[in-house]
Amino acid sequence: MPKFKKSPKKSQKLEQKPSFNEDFMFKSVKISTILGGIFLIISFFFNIGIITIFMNRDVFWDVIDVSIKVSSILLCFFFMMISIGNYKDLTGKPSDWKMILLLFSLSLAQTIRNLVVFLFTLLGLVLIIIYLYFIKENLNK
Amino acid sequence: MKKLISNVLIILILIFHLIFTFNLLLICGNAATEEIDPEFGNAPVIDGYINKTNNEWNEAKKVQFNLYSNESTTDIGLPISLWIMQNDSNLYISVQFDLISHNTREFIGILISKSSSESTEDFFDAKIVQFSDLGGNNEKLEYLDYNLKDDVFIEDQKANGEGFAQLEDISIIYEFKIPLNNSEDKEDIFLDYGESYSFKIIYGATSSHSYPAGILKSSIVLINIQYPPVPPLPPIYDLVLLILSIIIFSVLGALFGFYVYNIFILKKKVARINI
Repeated sequence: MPKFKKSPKKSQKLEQKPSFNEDFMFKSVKISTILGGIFLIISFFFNIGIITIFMNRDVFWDVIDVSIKVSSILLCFFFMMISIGNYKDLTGKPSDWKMILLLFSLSLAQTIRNLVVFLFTLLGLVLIIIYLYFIKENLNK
Repeated sequence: MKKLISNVLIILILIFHLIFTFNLLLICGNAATEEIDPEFGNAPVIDGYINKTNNEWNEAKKVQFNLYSNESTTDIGLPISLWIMQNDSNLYISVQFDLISHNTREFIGILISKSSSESTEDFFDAKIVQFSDLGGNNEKLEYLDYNLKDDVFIEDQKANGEGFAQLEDISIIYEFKIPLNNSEDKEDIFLDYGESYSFKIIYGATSSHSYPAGILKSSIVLINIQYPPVPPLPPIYDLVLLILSIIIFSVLGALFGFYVYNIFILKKKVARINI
């Protein structure tokens, strides 16, 4: 029989910390997945050509159409990257280049019907990857 | 004070004179009065007649302006209607005007510059529709193709293009067809897509074909030869792209669903570990 009982408050604190982190990461995974899904649906409607209200009216509306298509793909990619990154952290496996490449190519594949959208999306994806890389580097420091 | 007033007056007179001269030069000079981007359309029949039931010349750019005499500064000009259109292989020009009494040896010519330059020495090619005995019993019409060297008209060995005209009451319609982008004849101007050329429309009367003698009035227009429109993608190509994009989004949807399922499983797993 031990003479002193362990302080229950201290052990509770030790247990709560990882649980709080996991909850937070779960929340992050859920929210970013939902946002990624929403932008995937927007991208589906615009890039497949179901919503064509802005197309072939004049240059101004064409710019808006291309902007919606490009930004929906880029935001979908961005949120899915965050979601998958956190998911991988939760499972204990680090996110690798294969996953990033798969996401990258799937995002580009959405632009198959429009060359202008393809070019702007390619540029945007490269910029997002560079941005996320620098954020990760800063966090590692 | 008087000196100042007289100086101001002199300056004002000079300004008014400059404005007046400039305007006169613009009206009577050979500077291009119009810049035209021809529209693409169905080739009209070069017969001096506009068949409205076939919507002939329907797509043509139509401009009104005057042909002026080079010598006279008081010339009120000859008002003409100029119709211009093109297709992949030819440029079509129609010149129409009304005259109460047409000259029996009337002609309309089109002088083509090597570029957008309006200098006389740059006009190298000439296409002329020449009448003899217009409105008479022996009415004859000729389409003539010339090349110009130092304002001397030399008849081409081979006439390229077509030209025709018809008089109806007081109205006359001249029609020209000028080949685009396919002339290998060194006696003609190679009219290239995307380039601008000065065209001088000349009106006159002569019986001896001794051009430039007989040219009475002229005016210059700048024509920007258009590239042929890009043919629309075949429907099968569009359909293939549509099917491919549907497949891609289906794969994306399936992967997304699988990922969401994995998140739920992971949540359960983590919950079990925490217990």
